[in-house]
Amino acid sequence: MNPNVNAPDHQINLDISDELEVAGDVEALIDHLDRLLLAETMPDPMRQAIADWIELIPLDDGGTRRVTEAIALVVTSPEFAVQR
Amino acid sequence: MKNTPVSRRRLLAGAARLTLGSAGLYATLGSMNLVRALAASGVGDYRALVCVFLSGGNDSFNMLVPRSDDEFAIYADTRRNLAMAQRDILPVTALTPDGAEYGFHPGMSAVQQLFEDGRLAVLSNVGSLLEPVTRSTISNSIANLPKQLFSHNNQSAFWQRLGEPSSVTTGWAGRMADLLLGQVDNSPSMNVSLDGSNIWQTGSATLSYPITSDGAVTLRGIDPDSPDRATQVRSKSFMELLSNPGLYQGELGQIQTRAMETAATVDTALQGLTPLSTEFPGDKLGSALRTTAQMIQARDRLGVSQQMFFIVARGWDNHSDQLNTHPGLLSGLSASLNAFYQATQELGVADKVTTFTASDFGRTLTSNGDGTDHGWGGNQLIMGGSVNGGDIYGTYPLLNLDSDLDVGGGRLIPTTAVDQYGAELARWFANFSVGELNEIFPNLANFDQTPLGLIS
Repeated sequence: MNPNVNAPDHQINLDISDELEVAGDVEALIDHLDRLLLAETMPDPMRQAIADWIELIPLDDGGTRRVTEAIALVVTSPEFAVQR
Repeated sequence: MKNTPVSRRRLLAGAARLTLGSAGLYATLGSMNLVRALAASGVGDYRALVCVFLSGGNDSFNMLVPRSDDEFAIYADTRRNLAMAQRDILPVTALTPDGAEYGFHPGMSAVQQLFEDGRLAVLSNVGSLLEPVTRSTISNSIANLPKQLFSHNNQSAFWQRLGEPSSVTTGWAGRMADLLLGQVDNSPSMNVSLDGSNIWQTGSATLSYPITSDGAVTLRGIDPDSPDRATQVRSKSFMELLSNPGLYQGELGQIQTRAMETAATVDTALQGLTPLSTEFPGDKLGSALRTTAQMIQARDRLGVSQQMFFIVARGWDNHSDQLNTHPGLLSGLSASLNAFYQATQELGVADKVTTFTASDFGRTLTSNGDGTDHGWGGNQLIMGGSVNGGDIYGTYPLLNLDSDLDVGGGRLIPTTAVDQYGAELARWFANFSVGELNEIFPNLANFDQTPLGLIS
């Protein structure tokens, strides 16, 4: 179901349920975001840099922070900004 | 299913903080100039121009009002329910009499005092023009007029650009910076914006450096030198993504890196300044002017000898409820301008800083019952220690409807062009040649180029 159906005004809810399912597996999470956001073009150094950070983030919140940090790094990267 | 609530605004703001968005791109040039500036020495005679843009169109014939009996009677007859009481007008005596007496809106006692002290002047009935026009050339459709008069977007852009976007792509502060950058090699972001990117400060080779009332726009949670281990790792990962070997990706990453460095430099320059004892109003305009004063205070640390600031005050489009809304806007403007002038005195640069107002347009002299609609010519304030204050420049018009200046509803044909106003400020700001002034102000040649005498 669209998570924004009953959302308060001025709030957008990201549906990250698919990502949360793989939050415990850093490689799988990065693979998933690579496919979703970069059409499987993510360079290895970028994978490593993202992994270096997100694997330090504990899963005690169910993985939400790890997932959102991984997404943030991808979508703010020059790799994501340049359309090919 | 789990959802993460993120407000749209926070999502966008967060993205902007991480990437700096367009601000990063705009900051690039500022950064390169900054590096040059820090290496340069021997800062010359400092000058600053501060534009306070009253967005929406100020009803400025209720800001400076005729108070002598005959002129007030005409004013009151035209303005009807919007006319203020004659006894409430704060009287001033202009150094150069024109036969009438004037005064400021009752909420502007600080501006009245600045005027009486010779620190503030008024330029009356100034507006967007390409060439001198009259009611008859307009009604005969032979007048060459700026496109879309009375339109917010077009006219606020015209004030900043002084031409149509098809032929003029830059703003006049940007063109000033373009010309000065060749001469003055110490200009990190000579143009500083408190309101994001704008036309006025956009040049061909120069752009504005955007800051906020909180100072430089820095990235939250990105600090490689943080004592916090998590922040260190996060920052390292973020920076590694910026050092991308790709042709375009790498260039974008470098731009972002330089923007971060510039922000850090500006941030450092603003830290540890002697706190100003002048108190500013806590509203947006007061806060923007306080930060402007601090950027002026930091001029030596920034290595700049010339600065232009762009500040926007909003809320002036008073189609309705004007009698309740406009007085607060005018008193807020008055208090903030006064605080800023006091701060420049405190910093010992009162005669080196000139502040001026601009606005989309004046408003109809007639009332729509609850407010006013979009007009044309209007009155503007010019403040500073170098301003030949205590006087009214240009021509304050008689406010009767159907006058030779009235093109309908009390929309007045400006008697001074924005080009003439800008040229007056530019002459003071830098020693521009006549040729340069005509380059900066594309319509100036169509008007009398004798200085108005506003500043010396």
